[in-house]
Amino acid sequence: MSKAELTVLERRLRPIYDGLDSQNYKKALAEIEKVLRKHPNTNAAKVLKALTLIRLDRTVEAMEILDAIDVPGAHHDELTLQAFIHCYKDSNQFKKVVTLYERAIQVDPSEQNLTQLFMAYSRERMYKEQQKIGLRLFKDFGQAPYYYWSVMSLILQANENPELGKKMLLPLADKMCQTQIKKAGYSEGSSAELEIQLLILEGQEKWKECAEFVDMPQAAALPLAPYNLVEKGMEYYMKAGEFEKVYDLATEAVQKLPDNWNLWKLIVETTIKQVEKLIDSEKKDDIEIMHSHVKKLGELIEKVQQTVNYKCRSPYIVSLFSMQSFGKMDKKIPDLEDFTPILGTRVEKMLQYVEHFYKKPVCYTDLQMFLHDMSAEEKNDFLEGLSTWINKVSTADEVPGDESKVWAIILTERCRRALGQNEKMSPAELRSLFQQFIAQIAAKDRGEHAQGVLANFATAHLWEAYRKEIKLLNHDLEKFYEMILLLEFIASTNQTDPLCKLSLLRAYADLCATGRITALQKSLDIKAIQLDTLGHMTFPVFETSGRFNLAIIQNTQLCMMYEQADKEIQDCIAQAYRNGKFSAIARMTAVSNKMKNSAQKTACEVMNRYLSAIFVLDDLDQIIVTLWGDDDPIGEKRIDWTQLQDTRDFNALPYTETPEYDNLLDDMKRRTFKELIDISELRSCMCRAMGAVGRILHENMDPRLARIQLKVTVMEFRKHLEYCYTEYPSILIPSKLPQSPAPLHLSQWVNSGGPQMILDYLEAAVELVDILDRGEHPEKTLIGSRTEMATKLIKLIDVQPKRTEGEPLPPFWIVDPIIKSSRALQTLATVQIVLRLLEQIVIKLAKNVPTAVPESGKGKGKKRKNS
Amino acid sequence: MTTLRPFDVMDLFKFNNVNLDINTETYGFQFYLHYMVNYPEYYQVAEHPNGQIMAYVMGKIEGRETEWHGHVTALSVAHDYRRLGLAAYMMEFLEKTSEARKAYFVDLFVRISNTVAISLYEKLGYVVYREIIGYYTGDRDENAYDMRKSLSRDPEKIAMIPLGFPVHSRDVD
Repeated sequence: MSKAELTVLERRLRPIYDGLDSQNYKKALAEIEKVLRKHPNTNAAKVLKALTLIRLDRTVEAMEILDAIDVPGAHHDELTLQAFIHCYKDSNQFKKVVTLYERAIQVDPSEQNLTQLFMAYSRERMYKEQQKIGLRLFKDFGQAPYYYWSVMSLILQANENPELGKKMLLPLADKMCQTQIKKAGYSEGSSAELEIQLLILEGQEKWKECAEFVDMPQAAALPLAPYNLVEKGMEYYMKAGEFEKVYDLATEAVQKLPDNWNLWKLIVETTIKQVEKLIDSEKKDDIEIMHSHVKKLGELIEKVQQTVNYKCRSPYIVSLFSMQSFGKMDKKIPDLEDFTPILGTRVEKMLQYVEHFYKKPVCYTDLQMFLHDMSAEEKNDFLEGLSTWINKVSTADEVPGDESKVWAIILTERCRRALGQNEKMSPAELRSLFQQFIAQIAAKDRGEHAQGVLANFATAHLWEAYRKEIKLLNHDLEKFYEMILLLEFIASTNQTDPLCKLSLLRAYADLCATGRITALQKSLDIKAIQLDTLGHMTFPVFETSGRFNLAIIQNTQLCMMYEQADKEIQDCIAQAYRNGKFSAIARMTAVSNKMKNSAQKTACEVMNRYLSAIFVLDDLDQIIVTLWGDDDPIGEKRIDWTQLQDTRDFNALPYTETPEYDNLLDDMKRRTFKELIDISELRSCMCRAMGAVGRILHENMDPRLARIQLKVTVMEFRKHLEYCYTEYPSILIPSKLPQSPAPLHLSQWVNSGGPQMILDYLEAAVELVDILDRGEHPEKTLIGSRTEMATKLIKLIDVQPKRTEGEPLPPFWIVDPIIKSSRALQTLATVQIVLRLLEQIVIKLAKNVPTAVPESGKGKGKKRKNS
Repeated sequence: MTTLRPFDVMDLFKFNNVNLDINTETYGFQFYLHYMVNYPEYYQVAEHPNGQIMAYVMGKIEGRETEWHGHVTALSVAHDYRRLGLAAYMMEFLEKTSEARKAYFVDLFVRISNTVAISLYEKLGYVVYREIIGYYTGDRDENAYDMRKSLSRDPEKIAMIPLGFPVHSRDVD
C-alpha cells in the first residue's frame, strides 16, 4: 500500500479510533459498519471491529473475525497489523503477534515487519528465532546495530542455558563480536559494542578479563559513573580470586573514601579469603602470615579511625563486622582464639558506637546487625553499659531545640527490646514504659521525625500485646484500640511520618474498616508498583468486608497497573535494543517475568473474575465466559500455581524485636504466601467448574469435550477444597504480626460450609448431565429438597456472636459477623448462579428425555421448582 | 556508610521505605526504566549493609552547547537514614558524574514549599535561577524553583545568574 493510500485509509478509520480512544464502543461499532458498508474489503476496519468486541468482552466473536483474516499468505497494511497487535495484546494472545508477523514477512519482508517480528520474539523469549531475524535484518538492511541484536540473542540464550552458553553460544557471540568490531570498529557515541563485549566476558565467567576490560581507557564510554567502574573492577578481581590485589586496591581507596562500606566489606572479605587459603597449614610461617593478615586489618581500622575521628560510621562498624565475619569462619585460625587485642571487645566497641552516633536515627539499625552475635554475658555487659550511659545523658542539661536526649532514649529502648528486656517486664512496668513514650510523643516542640519513631515504637509495644494474648484466645483488643487512637493522633498531626499511617492501614485491615483504609491509601499516595508490593496490606479487605464493588474497583486498578507495567517494560526492552543499551535487557526481562508471575497479580485477576461473575454480570453467557476465564477460548495460558512469585514488600514497617521474631516473620511470609495461592486457586477452581457447567449449554462447544471439562474441573475443585480442609482447620487464626498481610480468612471460608454447598450443586450438575444424556429422569434427591437447602443456608447466615444473655460484647465484635456475612452473601450469589445454570441445562437436555414421567416426580418441572 | 551502586530494576520491589515519603513521587515502570537504560550512571542507590535502600538519586544529562547540563530528576532519602549527609553525598556524586561528562552546570526543580530541601541545596552551592509556575500538578498543585549550580566548565557562573522573572511550566523544556 502506498503512502497516499495509507493516508486515505487512516482518514477513513479516524472516527473509529476516536470511538475506541474515548471508550465509546457503540460509536466505534457504528463507524466500523459505516466503513464496511462502503468498503467491505477494508481489513483494518474488520480488525478494529474485533478489537471493539474484545473490549466489550465478546472475545469469541472477535476471534472469529480475526481467525478469518489472519491467515497465511494474507497481505496486511501497517494499520491492519497495528490493529491486530492491539487485539492480541488486549486478549492476552501474545504468541499470535509472533505468527502474525511470521506470516507478514513471508509476504512483505520489510524492515518494519522484520523489526516487529524481532520484538515479538523478544517478548515471547524466543531467542533463537530472534537471533536469526537479527542477522536477516543485518544482511538485508546493512545496519550494524541489527548484527548486535543477533549477538544479544545469543547471550540471552546462554543465560537460559548456561552450560551450552559457555561451551558454544558465548564463544560464538564473542567471535561474531570480534569479527564485526575488526570490520567496522566501535560505533561513535555509543557503548553498544563495549556493553555486549562485557556481557560476553561475564557470561563466560572470565573475571580477570572483565576486570582488565573495565580498566581500558575505552571503558570510560560504558554507561557507568567513574567510581562505579572502579568498584566493578574490584568486584571482578574478587570473583577471579585475586584477593591480594583487591585488598591492596581497596586499602588504598578506603583511605580516601573512609565511609565507603563496600570498600571495607571487600577489605574484610579479602582478609578472610587470604587467611582461608592457609587455614589447613600447620607450618609456623603460614600461621604467622595468617596472624599478620588479621593484624594488618586491625591496624588499618585503627589508622582510619584516627583520621576520621567519629566523623563517619564505617570505620567503627567495620570492627564489629570483622568480629562477626571471623566468627562465621568454618575453621578457626590456629593460635588466635581471642581477637580482642587486635579488634577490641565487642561490648566496648558497641558502647563507643552508641556514645558517638546515638543522635543519628540510623544508629540502632547499624547496631541491630550485630546485637545477636553477643553471648549472654556480653548482652548483660552491654545493657549495663547502656544503662550507665543513658543515666549520664538523662542528667545532662536540657538545650532548647536539641533532641539528642530523645534519640538516646529511643536507641536505649530499641536495644533493650531487641535483647529481650521487655519480655522480662511485668504488665505494670510495661505500662509505665508505654506511658513514658506517650509523654515523649506529646512533649512540647517534639520534632516530627522523633515523634514518628516514638509512635512506631509504642505501636510495636501495643501490637505485641494484642498478638500475644491470642494464645489465650482473649485478644487484648483494648490495647489494639488504644494503638489505633495513638496512630490516628499521629496521622492527623504529623505531616511527614508515613509509617504510622501504614501501621494504621494495616490495623484497620484487621477490622474491615474499609472507609479509613481507602482514605489512608489516598493520603499515602500508594500507586504504580506500590499497588503490587504493598497490595497485601489491603487486598482481601474489601472482599471480606462485603464491599464487592470496591473490591472490583481496587482489583481492576491493580490489573490495569500490571497490564501497563508489562507494556512499559516491553517498550523499554525494545528501546534498549534500538539504542544499543544491551546491559539492561536481561534485567528488564527478569523483571517482566517477575511481574507476570506475581502472585498478587493472579490473586487479583481471579478475585475479579469471581466477584464480577457472581455480583455484577446478569447475562448468563457473559457470566459463563467470565467464570471460565479469558484463557480458554484461546487456550494459551493456564495458571501455573507453582510458578507464582512473592513480590510483597515486608520491610516497610520496621520492627525492634528479639531474634525469634525473625523466625516468626519468615514463617508468616511462607504461610501467608501459601494461603494467598490456595485461596486464589480455590476461587479459580470454583469459577472454572461453574464455567464448565455453563459450557454444556454452548452451541459451539464439542458436547463430548464440554462433558469431560465439566467432570475434570468439578473434580479439581473437590480435590482442592479437600486439601484446604486439611490445611486450614477451623481453629486456625490468621497471623497477627503487624508486618503480616491483611488476613484472607481462608479457614473461615472453607469451614463456613459455603464452598461445600457449591461443590454439592456442582457435583449434582455433573450427575444431572449424565442422567439427562442417558434420557432418564433425575431423582428429587439429586439436589435435595427446599428444606435441606434452607437448613444449609440457615447455618451459613448464622453470623451472630455466641454469648450468654447479659454478657457484654467484646470490642470490635462486629468484625467476625461482617466477614461471615460477606462470605454467606458470596455463597448465596454463587448458588443462585449454579441453579440458574442447572435450570438451563434441564431446559436444553430434557429435550432428549421421554415425556413419560416416572414415579419420583416431574423431572424438569420439579427441578425448576427446587431452583 | 555510603556506598552508591547503580540502580537495579529489582529495587522497585523494595523501595517503599523511601517512596512512602510525602515529597517522593512514585511513577510507572517506564519512568524508572528509561533512566536505568539511558542514564545508569546518573541513577544511583545508597544501600545499607542490611540490604535496605537508604536513598536514591536519579538524573540525566541533556541540552546543547552551554545548556549541556546534568539534571537531578529525583533525590530521596528514607526516614530512617536521614541526617547522615546522604543527600549531599549523592548530589556530589551526580556533580562529579556531570563534570566527567563535561557539563556546564547541574540543575534541579524543587517544590517552593519544600524549605528543608531548598536550604540544603543552597548549602551545597545552588541558587534559585527562576520560579516555574504550575510545575507540580495533581493533588498538591504548586510552583517550583529551578535551582542551578555551575560546574568547572562555567567558571564565570553564567548559568547561575537568576532570570529575575517567573516562567510558566509550559514554556520550560
